[in-house]
Amino acid sequence: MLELDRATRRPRQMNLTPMVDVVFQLLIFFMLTTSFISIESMEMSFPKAEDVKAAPQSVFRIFIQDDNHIFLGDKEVTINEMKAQLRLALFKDPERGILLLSGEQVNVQRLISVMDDINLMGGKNVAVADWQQGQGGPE
Amino acid sequence: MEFARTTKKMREISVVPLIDVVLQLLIFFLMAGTVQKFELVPIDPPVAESGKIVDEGNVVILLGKHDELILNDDLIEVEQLIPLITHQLKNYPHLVVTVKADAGIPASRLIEVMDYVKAAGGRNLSLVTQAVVGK
Repeated sequence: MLELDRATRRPRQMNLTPMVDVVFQLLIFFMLTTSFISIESMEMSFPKAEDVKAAPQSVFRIFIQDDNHIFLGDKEVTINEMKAQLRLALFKDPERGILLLSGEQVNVQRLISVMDDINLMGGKNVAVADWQQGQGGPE
Repeated sequence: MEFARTTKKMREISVVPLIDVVLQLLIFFLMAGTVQKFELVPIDPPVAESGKIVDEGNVVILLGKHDELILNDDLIEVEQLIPLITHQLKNYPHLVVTVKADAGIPASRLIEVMDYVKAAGGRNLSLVTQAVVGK
């Protein structure tokens, strides 16, 4: 009967180099593409013209000046005072319209921060508009 | 004085601990991070607390640091915005328009784009923000 040669050598250690190569490639890919900031969104909706019933004088006006000072109507306020007044106004009338007017030099971060505070206070009807200092509003 | 020379041939370095470490790192990056969407221009969204995690819609407007306005991966001028999105909004008025604006640009540019979206018939707008670190 024919006998096959048995492998006499002991099994060698597996070559791990290709695996290391692949794993390094994956590691580099994930290091470059992952980010740890979480991207979110702030929802806004524009009211249809016929939905706007509020009289203009009842709109809560917030001005952001070029030097980032905040005015409620004609009065300069801090961000905390603004929040407190907003909370009070929205407690009386949750549907109250809020008009946010930002100066020319204001950047997006500042505008979004104020909008963020309005959202946190529960404001729903927010409109944003450009405003040039000296054209109405606080002096 | 002569030192005794090692007579054994140099052994192969063991790669097993290396693989262990690299796999740990790989698992860390897989679990802890999220894969970023590649944008045509780098955008650093403003920080806000009240943002919610929402999928971006079909209409995406990017406002880059250097006055770029990109609508669905095409660089356009502000005047082209209305005709380009009116068409889509006519069929789907409740379409969400996603605006990704860089935190450093003037707010007036964002407001201008918002006004154009409104003029084109858009009702729902989604402003992209990033969560506060450590929240």
